[in-house]
Amino acid sequence: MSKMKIGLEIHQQLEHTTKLFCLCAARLHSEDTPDLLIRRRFNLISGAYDQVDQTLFSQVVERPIEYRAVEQKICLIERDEQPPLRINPDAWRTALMIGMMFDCAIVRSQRIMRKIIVDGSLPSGFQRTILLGFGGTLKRAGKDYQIERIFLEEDSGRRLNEQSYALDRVGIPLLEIVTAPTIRSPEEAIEVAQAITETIFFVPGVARHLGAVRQDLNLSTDQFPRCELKGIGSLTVLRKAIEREVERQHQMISLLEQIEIRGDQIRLLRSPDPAEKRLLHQLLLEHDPEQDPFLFELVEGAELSSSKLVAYLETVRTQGDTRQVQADGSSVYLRKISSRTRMYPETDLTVLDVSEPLLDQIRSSCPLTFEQAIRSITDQGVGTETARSIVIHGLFELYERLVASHSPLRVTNFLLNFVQQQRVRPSIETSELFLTLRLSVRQMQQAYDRFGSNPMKIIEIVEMDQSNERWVEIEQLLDLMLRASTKAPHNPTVQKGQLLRLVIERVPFVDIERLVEALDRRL
Amino acid sequence: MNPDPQITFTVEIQIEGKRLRGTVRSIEDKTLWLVDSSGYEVGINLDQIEALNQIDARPIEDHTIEQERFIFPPNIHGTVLIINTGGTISSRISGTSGVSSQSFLARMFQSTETLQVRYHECDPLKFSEDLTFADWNALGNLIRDLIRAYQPDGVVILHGTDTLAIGATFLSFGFEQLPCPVVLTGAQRSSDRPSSDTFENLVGATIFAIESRYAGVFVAMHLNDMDDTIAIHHACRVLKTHASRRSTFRSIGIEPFALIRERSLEPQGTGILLRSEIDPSFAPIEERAGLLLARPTNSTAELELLLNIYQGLVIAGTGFGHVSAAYRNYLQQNLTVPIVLCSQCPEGFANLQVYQSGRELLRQPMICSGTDLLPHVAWIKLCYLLTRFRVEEVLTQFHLPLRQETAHTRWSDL
Repeated sequence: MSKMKIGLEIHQQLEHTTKLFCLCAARLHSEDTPDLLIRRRFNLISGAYDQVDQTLFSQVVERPIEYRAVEQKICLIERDEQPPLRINPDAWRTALMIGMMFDCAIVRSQRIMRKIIVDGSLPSGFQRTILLGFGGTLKRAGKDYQIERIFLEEDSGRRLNEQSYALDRVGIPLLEIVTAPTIRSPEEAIEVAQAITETIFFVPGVARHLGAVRQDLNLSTDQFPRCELKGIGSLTVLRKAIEREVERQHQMISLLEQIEIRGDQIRLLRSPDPAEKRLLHQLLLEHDPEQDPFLFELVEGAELSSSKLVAYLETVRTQGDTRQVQADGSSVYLRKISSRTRMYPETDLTVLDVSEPLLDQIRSSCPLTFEQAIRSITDQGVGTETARSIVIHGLFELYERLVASHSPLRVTNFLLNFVQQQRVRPSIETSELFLTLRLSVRQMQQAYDRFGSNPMKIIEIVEMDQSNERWVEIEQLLDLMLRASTKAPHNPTVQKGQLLRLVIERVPFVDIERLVEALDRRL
Repeated sequence: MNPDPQITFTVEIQIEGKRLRGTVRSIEDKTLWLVDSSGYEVGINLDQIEALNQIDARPIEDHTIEQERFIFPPNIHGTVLIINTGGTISSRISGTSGVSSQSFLARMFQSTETLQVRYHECDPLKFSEDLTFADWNALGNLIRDLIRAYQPDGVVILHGTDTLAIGATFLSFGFEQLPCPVVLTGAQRSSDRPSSDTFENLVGATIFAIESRYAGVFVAMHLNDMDDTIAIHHACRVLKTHASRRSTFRSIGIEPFALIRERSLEPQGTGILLRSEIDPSFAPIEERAGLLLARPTNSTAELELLLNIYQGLVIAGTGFGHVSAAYRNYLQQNLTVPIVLCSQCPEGFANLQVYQSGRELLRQPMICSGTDLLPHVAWIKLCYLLTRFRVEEVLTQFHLPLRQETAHTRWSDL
């Protein structure tokens, strides 16, 4: 692979809170049927500034856009019928916390800005966004990555089709984490994306459901200007997107070398290979869809007449694309990268001032990062994979509490073989109980099934089965069974297993370790 | 550091060991405001700055809006006169100075091949809560003068929405004769956003102003929250009912006079004045009446004060137009000042016949019912009548429907 420079933009949704500028729940309603339809027409306006960025409006929305929603679940603010409420303080604090966890310099007077969005995904035509912090670092073994910017903004509408969007996602708080373009390979990109997610893993309010994290990336190769790839939904697609984009950039360069442009005519200097033919077809589809690409016989000397495609090809080397990534990693042209962001202040809201006491308060409640959590487990002698498993499955808090009174080994065994395996979530009291009673996983399962919400019952039964009177009975039973079996030929292991089972059938909550000991003595 | 307003400085600052580059916007209250390369504005405490380096200094570029203009749809034929008084429709923030600037519209309105646009801007532009009788009288004179000068097919007035209904009522009574429609319109959602209702309101107002068969004063605003349809309301039957949404203006007790659906005129009602070649005639209205919102009270102080200041009074009473006992007692003395009792309820009729207390008030010769007039309409109408007629004649005149200000034509019952 050739030299590449990649910068990541991670978009992380927040949850269990309200939207950023209104009191609606920050949640999608994809399972509900929408009953509200709004049609909006947009106009060529660049915001406050008097200049118009021509490239920005190459995709201006000409036809009305439809918005759908469940009327009861949204308010007038998402619909741009009412000014915003003041910013959701929890989301703001979460964003500040994340800024500090990446060691950013936090902007002390934050102005909420309006960023003009022309694709129709927001009914107001703009997105409210705040620059919170800059100059942070993501520390990795061997190489640090600069976190250039941290933004807090409202999410846009969910695209339903070319002309319509769902409003449920509008206004959900979105954190944007932007790295410097120092990533050099797809593997590195995945690592960095993962590391960023892991750093904020334990921050309360960080959403982890499907679709909660979206990545955009900027990629440039040595001969090609920076292109923007948007809407990457998973790390697998991230790798494919980078690979396909690098491929595309190479193909574009080689294509440009084989064509000659005169006025509106494109002449092929030699016959294109199948990949180049595909590329030409895609280019025509993206830039001059009225032409039927199959009308052209793409051979040496063939000529295509397309002013639109020529206009695009002439800028390819100097100005990159903004492209939408598909599920297979390929991408579709959206528009030219805008050289200037069209932004102006949100005048309905006042400046957000960040005081030192507020920062101190937030700093003292920063949670551990993923790495720090794992390390705190491995420091106690547990293997890395086990530790990682515990953290990933959301069991770290439970681990910390149980390990205060029980050995790490027993706790990890309990958590992974019982809690995670059986997909149960026993209360702290029940967990403590299971560990104190030294039950086997099977016994825990039985006890939980029968008495899950009633620890007292468990204690009762277990005490009965493990009482001294019981032991006397068990010992007698063992002696009886051994006498009976000495008459028949036996395999010691099998016999042990059979005897164990026999006892457990009668006394389900027997202390297994003690029983095994007792058997071993006899055999 | 006092940055020269004609020069843009690009600086790099360092705080907490981290660097940020941006152009200087301003310094206020110990905060340095920078605009970063993406356009974000950030405020940095001067105390925090560890280092500051100037990177660049260049004169501010002159930004001209070439591409940004308001394009009227191609199928409108005629001449329209657009007069801008101010309001949200005109306000924007200037990118370079950060100050609200209202005159970008002047550059925006361009004539098309078939539509000739004449644009006039009032100076100063005002938010409509600041407008006064003097302003509206000046506006009336201006409209008359410009109609005479340009002979447009119709007139569109850009006006703040807060008092747009009052402005429309004012012009409606002020003009005794109009040759063409005068349509007031405005914006609920500021014009600096792509989704602003400004554009469709303007187009709808213009289409109606040019194509309607009727002359008179009207109000054009969104019918509902969608951008498909603009409602043309009678000037004296319209009310702003919501503080912010696009569909805020509603015709009360009557259907809108017309609709502009998908930019095409659909007349709905009949007017009282047809389009003609008549010379426009406007006479000023003086603020001779007061307006009082009645509510439960034992004190008549407010009432007495207003009766001392004004030559007439509109009281917006509760329900059918009722007022408290204290007021009733006061009003049953000999009054020399005409009093109109309306209802605070936007819909329905003031009706003083239903209850004894109302009937007693009606026995007073200087008291009359406002019927279904909206209180602000009754107020302007009373001012108008007090300016034109002697006090004794005012109430007789008040009963006459003059400008389609009532949804009902049979007055005698009430």
